[in-house]
Amino acid sequence: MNRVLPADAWDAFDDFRTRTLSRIPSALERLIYIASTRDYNSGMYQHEGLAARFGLEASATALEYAHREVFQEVSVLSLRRLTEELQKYLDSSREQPAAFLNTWQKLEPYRVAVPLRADPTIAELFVSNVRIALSVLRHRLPERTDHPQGALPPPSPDQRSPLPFRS
Amino acid sequence: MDYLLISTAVAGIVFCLAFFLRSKREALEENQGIGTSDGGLDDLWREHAASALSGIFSSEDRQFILAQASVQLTALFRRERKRLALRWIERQKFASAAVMRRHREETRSAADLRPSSELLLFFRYGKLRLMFEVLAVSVWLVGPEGLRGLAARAHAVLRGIENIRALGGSKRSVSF
Repeated sequence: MNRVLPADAWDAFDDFRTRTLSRIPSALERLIYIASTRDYNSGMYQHEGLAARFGLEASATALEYAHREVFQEVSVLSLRRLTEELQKYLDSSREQPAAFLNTWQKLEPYRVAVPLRADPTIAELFVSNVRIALSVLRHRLPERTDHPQGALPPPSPDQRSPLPFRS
Repeated sequence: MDYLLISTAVAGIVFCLAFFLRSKREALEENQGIGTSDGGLDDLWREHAASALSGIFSSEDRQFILAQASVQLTALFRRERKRLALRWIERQKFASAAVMRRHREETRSAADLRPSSELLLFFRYGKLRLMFEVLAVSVWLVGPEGLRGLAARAHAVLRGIENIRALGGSKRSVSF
């Protein structure tokens, strides 16, 4: 039993971890997936499948807890590991590497992956590390122009996300 | 020549002062909400905050960047880490000041105040502030590389001072 979560939220978290998160191989992808379940305006986490089984409040609490866990995991990754994770995410996105890096470096979409109540130092470390990791990938880009991913045709809309659908 | 040197030194001091004041103000503004924790997940965040120290002062990351053999990457890395380290130091200084402020409030009306404990606490706090100032100047001059030990020691002293709150103000002895 968890010392922080109520029993129903813990059950929802356990279910989410077992049935959804375990299917996502990369920690960075897990983080981005969980962050995508959060409403940009209200900051509330929403997952229809989980809410149907455990209730709205329990599922939201479970998702917030999962977000915190995965974010902590990613935020303490070494730059080497984070760069590898980012490379995996870039490859699985099936976007052109240059286009992906342009978008991520200009718009900084990874900022929305930071939990609302994250410790400010850890949040800054995460943002800074992603920024540096993106620059490392950019630096390596000329060597990767013959990468097979770069030759793929544009993906259809349903292929764009490597992440599982919300159930 | 002398005039030029003096002007450069004055400009340097003013620049450093402006930087530290700006950094301090930012830390103050963002830390105004500290102390409003509602327990639960907030406490878990606080427990995890120490791991940020390892990341900011990591030599492994520096080795990785140096291995990329890029001047731009190295410069970016150094700039980012220096900024993070200075922000971390400012937050730690703010946290230590907040602990002392709370302690003063709690002991103001205490009847069983122990002067020896209070004196010890005062000296520990002074030592902590000095450590943070030395750390800040060192980071400013050479970057956070190689300063992990000092940062960890300062952080440990701060955790010790924070325990005062849990110890219940002046009623128990102060330990670090």
